[in-house]
Amino acid sequence: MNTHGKGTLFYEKFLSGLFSTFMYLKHPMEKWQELLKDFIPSFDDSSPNRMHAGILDRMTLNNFLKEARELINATPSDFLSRKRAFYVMVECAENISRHGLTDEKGETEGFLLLLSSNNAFKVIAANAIASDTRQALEARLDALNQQDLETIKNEYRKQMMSGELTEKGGAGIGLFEIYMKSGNTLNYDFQEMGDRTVFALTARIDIEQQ
Amino acid sequence: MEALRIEATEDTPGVHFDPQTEKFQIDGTSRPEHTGKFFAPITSWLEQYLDTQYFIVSKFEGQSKTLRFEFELEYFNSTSAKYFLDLIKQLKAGDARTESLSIEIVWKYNAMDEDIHEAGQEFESMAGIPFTFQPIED
Repeated sequence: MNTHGKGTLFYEKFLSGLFSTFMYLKHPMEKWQELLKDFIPSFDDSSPNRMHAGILDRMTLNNFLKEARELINATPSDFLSRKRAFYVMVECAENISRHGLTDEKGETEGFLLLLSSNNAFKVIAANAIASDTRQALEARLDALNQQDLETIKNEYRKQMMSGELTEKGGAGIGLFEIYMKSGNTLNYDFQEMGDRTVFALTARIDIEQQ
Repeated sequence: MEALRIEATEDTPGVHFDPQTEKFQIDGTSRPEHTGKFFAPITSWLEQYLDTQYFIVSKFEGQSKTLRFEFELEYFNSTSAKYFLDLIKQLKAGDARTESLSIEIVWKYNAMDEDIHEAGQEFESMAGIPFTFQPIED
């Protein structure tokens, strides 16, 4: 049953139009930084980072990951922290390609940021999703952040054994892996923009030893 | 039956299954753009090969055989993990079919990489087939 009134529908279409205009008129980097200004931690531009904002096709994704890997390897850190940071970076980037909303050309736009410091790597990823997927995503993230590791591992095994792949070709275990590899609470934010929602996620990977 | 050879790339693993030498190895990195398409020929090759081996050991009394499959993975994404588990379950089914055909799974990993080691232990437990773990020192 459609519970929207005409006014609500008009308002949503108006907002959606605003979002599209906003999406197309601005430079991708400026646009994403503005959208995520309350979510991205303030950081000095001179601190080591790799950033991508805009269309994320396979070639762009691979080039970005190559640069991210170089930054990770250049950061004084232990083997496992470097590997986990790269792993989380890949899963976040692939989540955007797989689940991000596409435009009329079938392209997906997203934002990726890798920050490195003396004691941690931070991966920040954002993309537009269909608004009706927000609730389920939020519930999954809250469950991950609240459950103990053994419960999460059991859920992960259940999902792996179920034999079902998602409609988008994923195994539905990307978020489990991001959580388990980061070893920290996942911070997230949603911003409603008409018929779509911008979803942003931060994963922190502590550097264990140097 | 012809060997299955898929050369490794930046984001797909090398697959070398050779029925002549009976060497079966998968190594490298796995995050294919289209994971299902990448794994489909491996699964169907394996199905055909295991069927053939089952036929041979069943047809000729006294025949028995152990096949050794080696995994030496450096990195794989979450979707690939699901496909590797399915592949290992396929090997487990081949092993369980008859006592005359045994399958040994060797899981090689960088000795510093406890995540890959743990991933192997998870596969072993989920698929229900014992692995031989071989850490590789740098």
